[in-house]
Amino acid sequence: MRALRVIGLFGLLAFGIAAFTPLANRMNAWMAGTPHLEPSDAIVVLGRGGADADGVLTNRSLRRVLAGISLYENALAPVLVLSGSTAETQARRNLARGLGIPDSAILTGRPALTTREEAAEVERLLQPLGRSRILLVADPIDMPRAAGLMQREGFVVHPAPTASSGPSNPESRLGLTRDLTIELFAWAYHRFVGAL
Amino acid sequence: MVGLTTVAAYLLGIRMLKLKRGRLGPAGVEALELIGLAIVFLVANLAAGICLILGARALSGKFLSVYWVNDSTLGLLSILQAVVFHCWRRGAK
Repeated sequence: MRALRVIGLFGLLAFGIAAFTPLANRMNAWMAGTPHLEPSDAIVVLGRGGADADGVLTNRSLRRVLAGISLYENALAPVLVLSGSTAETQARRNLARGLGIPDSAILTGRPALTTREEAAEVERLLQPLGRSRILLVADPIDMPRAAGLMQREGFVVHPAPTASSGPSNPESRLGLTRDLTIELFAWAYHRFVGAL
Repeated sequence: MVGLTTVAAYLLGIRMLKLKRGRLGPAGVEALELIGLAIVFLVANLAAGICLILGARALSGKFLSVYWVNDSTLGLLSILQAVVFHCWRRGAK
């Protein structure tokens, strides 16, 4: 029973720190690193969460594609690569076209369900075109793993994380802490299997 | 907000329900046990879910996302499991 009390106390403390301190925000900003918004050969927008049955993108997927479109509009690269599941890439392509991106500038590949698959698919799309310097659009917490996987595929990565200040209310901070924990496990797993 | 309702609950307990002040400390310790139990259930549920997904992935050869276990209802269900188990154990004493 003593062990349960210790676990309970630890859980309570962890809850308090996660919800009511800026630790998650700091971790978020730290993992994002410094954005390098430099002219590149392509803008790569990784998938995140897909789209629902009505073709509506998740919040994060939407934020990523809007960030990618903004980079394109700032003329930082001539090509916008949209990655992810079939439904996600289709919904993103429709959105990008609706916001004025010419169809010829949008590249989508085969469906990819993991970041590792996405990296391989982007490599298949871009390397034959000689496009190796990419602006990588991902969430701040995903950036270390995503950038590592892209570098392994031979890309020179310029990170372009979506907003990295993070949420300002306790519930959202808890959500971010959960995502951070998952991402750190994913990063450790990739290191363990030698994918990073 | 939570502080206000906590004070209100304390006053209600002391004045109307005639609860003993001395029992508050042990009640807090018991609550910690309950929280600890909920965390144990949550970790067990997560581990079971991930093992099932990885097993099904290996057996079927199809991609199944481990993000399926990333659902807040799992946390709520773990708390429910802990409460029932705790009450069951306390009743057996």
